[in-house]
Amino acid sequence: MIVPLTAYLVVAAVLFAIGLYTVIAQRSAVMVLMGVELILNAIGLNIVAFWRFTAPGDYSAQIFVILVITIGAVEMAIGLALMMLLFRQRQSVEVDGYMELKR
Amino acid sequence: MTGSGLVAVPLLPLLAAALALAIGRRLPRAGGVLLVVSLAGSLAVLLSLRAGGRLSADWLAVGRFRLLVGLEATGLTWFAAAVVAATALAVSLYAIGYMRDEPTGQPRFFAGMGLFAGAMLALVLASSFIMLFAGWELVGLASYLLIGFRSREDRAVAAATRAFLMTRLGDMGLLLGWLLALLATGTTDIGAVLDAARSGQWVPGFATLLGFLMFAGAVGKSAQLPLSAWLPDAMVGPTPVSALLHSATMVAAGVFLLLRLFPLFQAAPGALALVFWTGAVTAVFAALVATAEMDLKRVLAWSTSAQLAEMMIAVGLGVPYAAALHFATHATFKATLFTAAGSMERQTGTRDLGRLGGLARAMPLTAAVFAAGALSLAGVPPFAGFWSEEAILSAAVARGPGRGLLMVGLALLTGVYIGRAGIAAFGGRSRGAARTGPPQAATMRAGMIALAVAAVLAGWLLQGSSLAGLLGMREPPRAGAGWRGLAIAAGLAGLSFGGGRAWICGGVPALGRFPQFLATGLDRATRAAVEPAKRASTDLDAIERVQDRSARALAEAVICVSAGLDAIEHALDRGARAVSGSARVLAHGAEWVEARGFGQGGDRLAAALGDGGQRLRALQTGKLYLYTLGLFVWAAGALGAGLVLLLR
Repeated sequence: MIVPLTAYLVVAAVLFAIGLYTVIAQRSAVMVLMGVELILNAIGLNIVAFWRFTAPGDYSAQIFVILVITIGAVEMAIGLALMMLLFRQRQSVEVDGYMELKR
Repeated sequence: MTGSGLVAVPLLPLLAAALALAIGRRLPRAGGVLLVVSLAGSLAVLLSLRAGGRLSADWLAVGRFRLLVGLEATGLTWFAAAVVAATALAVSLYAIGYMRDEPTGQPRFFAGMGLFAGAMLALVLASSFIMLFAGWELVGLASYLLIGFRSREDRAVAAATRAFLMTRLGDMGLLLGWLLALLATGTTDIGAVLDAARSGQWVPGFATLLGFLMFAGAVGKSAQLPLSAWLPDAMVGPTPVSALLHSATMVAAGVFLLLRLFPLFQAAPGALALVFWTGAVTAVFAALVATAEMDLKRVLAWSTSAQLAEMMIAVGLGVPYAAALHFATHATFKATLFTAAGSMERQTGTRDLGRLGGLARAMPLTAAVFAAGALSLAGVPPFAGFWSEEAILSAAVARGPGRGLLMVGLALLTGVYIGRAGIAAFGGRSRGAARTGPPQAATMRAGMIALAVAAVLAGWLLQGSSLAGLLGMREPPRAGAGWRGLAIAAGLAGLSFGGGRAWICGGVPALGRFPQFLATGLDRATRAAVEPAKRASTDLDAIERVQDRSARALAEAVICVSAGLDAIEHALDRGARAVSGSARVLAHGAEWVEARGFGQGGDRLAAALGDGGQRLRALQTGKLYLYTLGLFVWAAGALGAGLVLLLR
């Protein structure tokens, strides 16, 4: 059975929506980072699906997805390092507590 | 450099003069010793150098003119310098004793004597006209200072001024002469000018003109007519001054100049004739006046004038050898006569021939010295004057019997006046003047005796071919025995006539009183000549006044113009002030605009921006989810807009 393109797109859209909701609604910085990861993966799924169904001879889409995953990993590392520092400073990872720029 | 020692010759007396003034306050008597030592040094240097040294340097080179300064010991200049130094040495030795009792001014006196001798040595040794002229003028200055030594006496001041101004008249000729020579040859080197004269490259009249101009200088310095009135007046100076001035330094400079420039005169027969005739007239005139003077020193002064005139005659006859020999012998016997006269005056307090008399017994040494000088002057063999006067006689006879007779006549007159003066002072009866002064100092005696010995021996020692060889001049052919005998006889006859008359009648004029009128005539003529000059100077004064007035008018006009310029300037100034005032106003306005406009505007802008910032800050919630939401809303909006644009 061949899974149609639309199914991939729907799964990707659901993933994106869950990621977006997580980023907006979650208070914990760790959960926000995880939402960002979901968004990135939704985009990756979109790109691979379009490549598979429209131009399977072109490898550029695969390379693009690998780049996105790499950037996602790096972003995750930096984000988690920032969280660690912030947690050491104020014993909290609540994103709403970081309000020093607003006075 | 063989000539480098030459510098010391004139420099030593000048240094002694400076030193005498410098230490004069502490050691007033040291000046005389210094002078004697320095002159002895000069003489020693001179004798050790012999002739032939030369020292010359460029002083100034302007265009084609080269002005040199330097010293040169040719035969003639070496000989003249030796005569000057030796005579000055003896006279300054005498002066130490003579000035012993002078209360004040000894340093000044000996400084003057040093300047006198040093300047004369520079003059005779000079190798360039500049140096010669400088020495010439310094000699004049020193004589002025020394004649006017007793500056509190009006007569001394008047005589000094007269001597200075009358010689200055002649000096103008010399100055013009050498400037003209400089113009013609481009150099002041005497040798070069003489070479140019010898080569005959000048137009014929030029050498004659130069000769006339140079001779004018010699006339003034050597007291020839018409510029001879200053010499007898100069007797008011202390006797050592007279002795030096009359023998070797001042008056001899004129004759020396003619000897030095003789090649120039050889190229100018007209000038030589003028020299001869001036000499002849002056000799007769001065000798006649000397027979009638009542003042012993004035007799000797006129005698100097006459003897210098004889040297002029010798030069005029073209026999410089005779003039040079007479220059030397005259220096010795005239200095001798003056020192004796001074010694006598010092002890009796007078030199009036009417009051002197019979002093030979009271002062035998002075009388003997005077006699040696007098016999030498009268040309009695073998005294010094005999040899030189015989040389002049020979020169004259060679040119004709008339000139020979002139010389014989002069010998007769010379005998008359010096015989009269000598016997009136030392022989016959005493006429009131007696020895009252202090005994003579040893230095005075030494100086007198040295000069007297020279006056006896100098002629015999110097004359002959060795001197002629040294000078590079020809000896004249000797006159016949008849002429020589005649001249000696004339001298002796004059001596016995003058002496005998003085013995019997005392110091009355030997040939009547008419020569005195000659003297007063010359005096009056001199004064008369001065009158037009005075008038001319007043005329010049008037001209000057006119010039002054026109200069004043010019100056006033200039002031007027400048006042006008001032007004214009004021106007310009005011304009400039107005411009600058408006500029200031503008600047103030600009400043105001800047302060109020830009400044406040800027402030307001900043305030508005700050306000806006404050308001915009309200947008920032600091809530992370809001930012994310905003981002997605914006992205969704952009995508929606793109979709709308795409579908349309």
